[in-house]
Amino acid sequence: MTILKIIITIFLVFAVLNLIKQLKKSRISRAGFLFWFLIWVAVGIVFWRPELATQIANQFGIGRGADFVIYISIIVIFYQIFRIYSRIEKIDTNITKITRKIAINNAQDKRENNINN
Amino acid sequence: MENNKKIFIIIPAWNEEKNISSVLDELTTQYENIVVINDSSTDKTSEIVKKYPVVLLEHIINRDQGASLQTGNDYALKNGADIIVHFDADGQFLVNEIKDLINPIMNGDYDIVFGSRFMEKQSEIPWSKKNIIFPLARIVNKIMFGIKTTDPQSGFRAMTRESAEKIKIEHDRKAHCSEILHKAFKYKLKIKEVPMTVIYNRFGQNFSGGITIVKDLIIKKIFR
Repeated sequence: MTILKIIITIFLVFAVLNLIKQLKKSRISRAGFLFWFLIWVAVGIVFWRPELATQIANQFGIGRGADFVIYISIIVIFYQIFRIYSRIEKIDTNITKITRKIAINNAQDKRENNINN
Repeated sequence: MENNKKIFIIIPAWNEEKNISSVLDELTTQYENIVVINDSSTDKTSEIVKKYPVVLLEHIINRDQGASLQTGNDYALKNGADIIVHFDADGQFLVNEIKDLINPIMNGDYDIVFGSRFMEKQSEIPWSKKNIIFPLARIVNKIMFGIKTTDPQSGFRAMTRESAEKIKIEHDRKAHCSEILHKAFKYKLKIKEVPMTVIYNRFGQNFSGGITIVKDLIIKKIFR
């Protein structure tokens, strides 16, 4: 468990440092920063103080802390997938709009009745 | 023939170098306003289309059939179209059947007319499409949109300017057939189906294509 704890801690430090870097470069919103920061802090707590996770789990009527973490993780992952999907849809729509605008602006009209021939 | 109404024929084309010439050879003798949307073809479709007296719109990125049709609609509306016809680049529809679609609109009786493979004229529809894919498509249309037509996936259609202004195609891929049907019903347009012939070469959706359409419809419903 100790080796795993060390690996996870190193990963978490890197993750938080990266998060701060993203915030400084304005690549992430303050809300986004806070969300991910809390996620990583929660992961750290679960690994270093698993009994705390169990106490919280008990508050929600779940026996084991590990189960509680898995349930929360699944919810978070699904929510993120939903957000990514929705974002991809939006990007896709925007790409179509740009492609369409370029196509129409650069129309090549060779009709016989076209005065621009 | 055009009866002073400005008719625009919209043809989405993706890698159609083998078929587009014969389609344009025939169409250009009968219609003045033909718009081909080259959907980022990797073959010589664009070079071939440039030889004809038509409008060529180039999608610099492949956006698929539904997106191409809407690009054509936008161009036609911008250039004063009264009637817009959606046609196919691979020669599956018959040019001389376009008049069957536009006549009911010309007469002022209908807003949108769909060609149907399931009315009097008999297209040689492959067995799997006729007995599995189309019945399933009808069920999907009925459940998701409450639509009931003889041909659930008709891509041959004509519509008035006002209809095209209302029906904005948001499904970039192949789900536009169901989408246009759905919106035609939603906006309470006067709808007619007329018999059409379809020549099957490499046309259309196989079963996995059908699944993709249903997936696209569901995703759009959730994320819109």
